[in-house]
Amino acid sequence: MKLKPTTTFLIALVFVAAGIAATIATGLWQTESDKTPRKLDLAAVETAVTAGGGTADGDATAVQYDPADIRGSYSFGEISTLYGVPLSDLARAFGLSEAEAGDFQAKALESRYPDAAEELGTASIRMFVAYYLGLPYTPTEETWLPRTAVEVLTASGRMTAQQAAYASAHAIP
Amino acid sequence: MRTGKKRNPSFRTGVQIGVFALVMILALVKWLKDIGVTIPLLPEISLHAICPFGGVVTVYELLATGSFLPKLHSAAFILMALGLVVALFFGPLFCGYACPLGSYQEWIGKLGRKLFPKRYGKLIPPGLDRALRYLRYVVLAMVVYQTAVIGKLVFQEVDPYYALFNFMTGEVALSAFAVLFGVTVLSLFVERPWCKYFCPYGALLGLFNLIRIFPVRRKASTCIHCKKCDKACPMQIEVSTSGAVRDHQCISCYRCVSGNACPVDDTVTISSVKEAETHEA
Ligand code: SF4
Ligand code: SF4
Repeated sequence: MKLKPTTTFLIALVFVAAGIAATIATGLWQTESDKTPRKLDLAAVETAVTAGGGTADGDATAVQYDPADIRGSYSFGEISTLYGVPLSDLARAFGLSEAEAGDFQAKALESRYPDAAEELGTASIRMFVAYYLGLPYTPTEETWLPRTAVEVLTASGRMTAQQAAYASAHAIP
Repeated sequence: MRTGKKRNPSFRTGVQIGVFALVMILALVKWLKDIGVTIPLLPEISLHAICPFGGVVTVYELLATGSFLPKLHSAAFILMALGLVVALFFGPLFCGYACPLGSYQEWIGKLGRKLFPKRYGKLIPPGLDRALRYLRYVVLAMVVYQTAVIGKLVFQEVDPYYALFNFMTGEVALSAFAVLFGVTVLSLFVERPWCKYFCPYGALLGLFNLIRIFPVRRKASTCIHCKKCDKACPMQIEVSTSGAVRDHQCISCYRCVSGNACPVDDTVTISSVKEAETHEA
């Protein structure tokens, strides 16, 4: 069978359009996050935390999302709801008022601290949430926190000794 | 029978301009939304969400963790799957007709042809050019491996496509701007340099040229050996000596076919295996 270039293109276009329409109709097509982060295996987490000298006071059957899966598009309000960190603590940690924190997106943090000596961004929020909840967390790159965040973490009292040392060594005034 | 018709390049140019404009509009709408300006009726879609190459790099993450890489969504995966089926039939039609970065390089190339008519197409020695054309498979392997290991979109740091459409967002790494600049300068002397040497998505789609159901085919019995098809090919493939074009670099632009570059009717065509077997010399 022979085809003309235009026919070839139109067949491909119709095929792709039909594919998109079918996946929209069946609910498979998504162009934005459904705001459901990855879940953590809590039983494994409790073992790791206890071994690391931390306090595992969670319920091993409850749902705990993985702080490492916090996306730049999440607002502080969503992070608070999904991860159970009070919005007031998130706001205080990152120098925001509680009123503005609700809609503040994680990816906007960097522009909030343009003059910081080190980069503060979504990775800082991931680490903060993990340390706040006393969950194990391995930063994929060197990660920094505002000093206010370290103060909130210290007050929360759930960090392991190792996490506390990392946090205080990575605090930016 | 000879024909002087040249309809399809303009149809293709129209498609290229349309897709480029659409992607630019989507990028602008998203950026305006991010800075607090909402444009009514226009959807707010991130470019990551609709980039089929994003679907490729998230395959490992999807298999390993059941979720997409950050910034990617099912749409990218679906577009990747649809694109691969299209490539199985028609090869890298996405590159020839839709990819805005490919179109951008072509347009810069037109300028280069005018500014540097003596140097255009002669910058890179043929031997080196042949070897460099395999570099994009190395890039593909590196991007997929790195993304799987690190679990985030590492390619964004050097992606000229991302830099081209997100330059206003402040999210583009300096390295991506540098690559875009390099590609732009090189495009003044070499046709589609990014596609030929570096593009990981073009590398993947290009492999389908080896098995595509509708390749470009030349009928030797009516070919007059004028080599106009060769001259028209942006990837410098020798169509005039091929039976079926199975070159991994073909981008399905169809510039070479009868009615476009080939002046003889029904000589360079897009046809399935069965049809062509009766024609090939
Ligand atoms: S090779 Fe890459 S840059 Fe070139 S057209 Fe194809 S996808 Fe676009
Ligand atoms: S062989 Fe023909 S269709 Fe393939 S890239 Fe060259 S001109 Fe385009």
